Amino acid sequence: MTAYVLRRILLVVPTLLGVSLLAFALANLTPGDPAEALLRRTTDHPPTPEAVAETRRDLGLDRPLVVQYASWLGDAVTGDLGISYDTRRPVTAEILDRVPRTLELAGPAALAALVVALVLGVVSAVNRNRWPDHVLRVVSVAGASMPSFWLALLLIMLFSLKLSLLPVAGREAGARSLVLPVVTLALAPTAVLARFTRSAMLETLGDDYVRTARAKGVAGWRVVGRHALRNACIPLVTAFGTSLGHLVSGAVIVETIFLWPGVGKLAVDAILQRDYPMIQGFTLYAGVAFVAVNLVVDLSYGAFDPRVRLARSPAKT
Amino acid sequence: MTAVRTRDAATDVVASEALPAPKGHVVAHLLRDRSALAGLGLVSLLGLGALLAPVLAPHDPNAVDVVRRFSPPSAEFPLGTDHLGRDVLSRLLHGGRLSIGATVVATAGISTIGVVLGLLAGYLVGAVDTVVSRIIEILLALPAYLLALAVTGVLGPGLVNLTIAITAVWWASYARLVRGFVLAETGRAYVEAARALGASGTRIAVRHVLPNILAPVVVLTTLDLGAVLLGLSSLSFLGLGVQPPTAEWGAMLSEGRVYLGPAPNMMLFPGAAIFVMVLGFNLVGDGLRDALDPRTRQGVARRPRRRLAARRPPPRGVVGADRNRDAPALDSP
Repeated sequence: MTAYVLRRILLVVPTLLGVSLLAFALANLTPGDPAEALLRRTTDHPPTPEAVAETRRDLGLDRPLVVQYASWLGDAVTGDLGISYDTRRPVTAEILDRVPRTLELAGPAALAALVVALVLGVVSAVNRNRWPDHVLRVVSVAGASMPSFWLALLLIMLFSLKLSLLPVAGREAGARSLVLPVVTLALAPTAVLARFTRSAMLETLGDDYVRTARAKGVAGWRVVGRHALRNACIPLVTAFGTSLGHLVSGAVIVETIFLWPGVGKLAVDAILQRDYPMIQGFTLYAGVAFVAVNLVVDLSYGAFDPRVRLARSPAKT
Repeated sequence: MTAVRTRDAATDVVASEALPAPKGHVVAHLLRDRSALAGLGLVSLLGLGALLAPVLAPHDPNAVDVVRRFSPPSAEFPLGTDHLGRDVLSRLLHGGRLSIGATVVATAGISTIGVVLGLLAGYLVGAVDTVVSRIIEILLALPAYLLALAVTGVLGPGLVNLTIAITAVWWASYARLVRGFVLAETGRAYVEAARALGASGTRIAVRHVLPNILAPVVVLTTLDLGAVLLGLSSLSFLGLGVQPPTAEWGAMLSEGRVYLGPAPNMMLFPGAAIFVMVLGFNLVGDGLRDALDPRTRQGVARRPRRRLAARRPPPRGVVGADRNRDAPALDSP
């Protein structure tokens, strides 16, 4: 197990380097010159060629790309990702300030999605091809097809404008301001996870050990909970890892609509302002976060299924 | 010359054993699948509306008339007017051309790049495989939607840039799928046979392996049409797509968001159009997946209630296939 964990962690290094290269390349893909872009942002009139040349020197843009990448990466490792063009504050500080705001939405949304999806998926699988199953299928296809930005606007129109129950946007109203963004954010992952739970449950419910348990006379719901669900967790962990991607993607939209000061809103603002250091920083941090999540998901297989743990350590086979 | 042709004919005979089920079965199965038919109906309805927009649209989509702004639905303006007095129905029909058009272009680009790179990586192995696999891994490290957002941000807003950005970052899952299939198929008897008979590497890849992996690619493409439309219109909603005054569903919704109170019609109809179109794509994609997967097909057509078997056959209908069902779900909000 230890060898497997170590190997898996080492495999992450090339991917991380790749993600950093991608983030670095983003600013260098720009049609224009970053130095000119910066000057255009800070001054109103078109910059003179001399000023551009000077800024290029100041920013180190006159060096070869390889050298620029190496120095950028060196700084990035220490958490220095440059200064935002827009706020003039360090990119890392800006992003770290916003992470808790995003987690306020993503945490409850992930929890809600998981709980609702588990219940729906299990009920649907146990009642296969009966009405609860049909209802869930319709709901999950519709939920997966629903544009989150439209859902958010529909919810605002109904609950904020028509019924005046919940605030339109912002986070001043405490828990009440959480409801609409969290519901919007949770819908897509719930739909996807419910389908996953259903098929994973159907698979395990047909397995030999479940039949054995039933034959032994273990009670129905105990079989579902103790035997089938536990084994259905393995594909679910993967699916949940993927849903975290949906959650962060969704946060971009949800935070923009509900004017929520999280990372997603920060990214959209940076993009609309063409704040390249911020776009780079966002891409890099998001990449690192997802690589880490995937690593944890991979490693957690062993926790749910002893077969994985044993099969992957050659010493014990 | 003749010798070569004979040899190719022989390899083709060998390969035909492994070809997928005749097309007739797939169509017949799709015609029995009510939800796939409904999806096809929705897609055709909106697709035709967009295609025939110049004929169907009652007004010029960009004709501004501030006097009649925020008109509720009426005989003259079936879906009402927007904040500039433009006809919402006409804008919806014309907007569909861009939304659906960009989605189809992007998805075609994505699947082409993915299939070509996946075939190359899976077939050539070696250095090509290493490079392509690394790129795939890096692209898949981040959700495609976030990458598309960052790339559009760097390229600058606009529908063309948006389509380029989505195409550039979205192909990785196809390449990975195709590469995996190619590696799996390469070990199969018909490929060995074709190779033993002297068929060239390219010929085996294109004539023998490609037809066998086309079914999963078609399914993934159909399911992805919905995801791409969602991603595209949501980025457009953020202001990264078409610029005013051009009509496009995501951009219309973005304008409608400001006037939720006075003109809910500006938000309701473009959103419904996106929802219905994505739903249609997803229903057709689900149907195609069932129809093209022989295991699922059997399961759907005559699913046994209960089955006794000694050693792990597909228990209670189909299960292995069921797990795949959910794999390529949406990748965007």
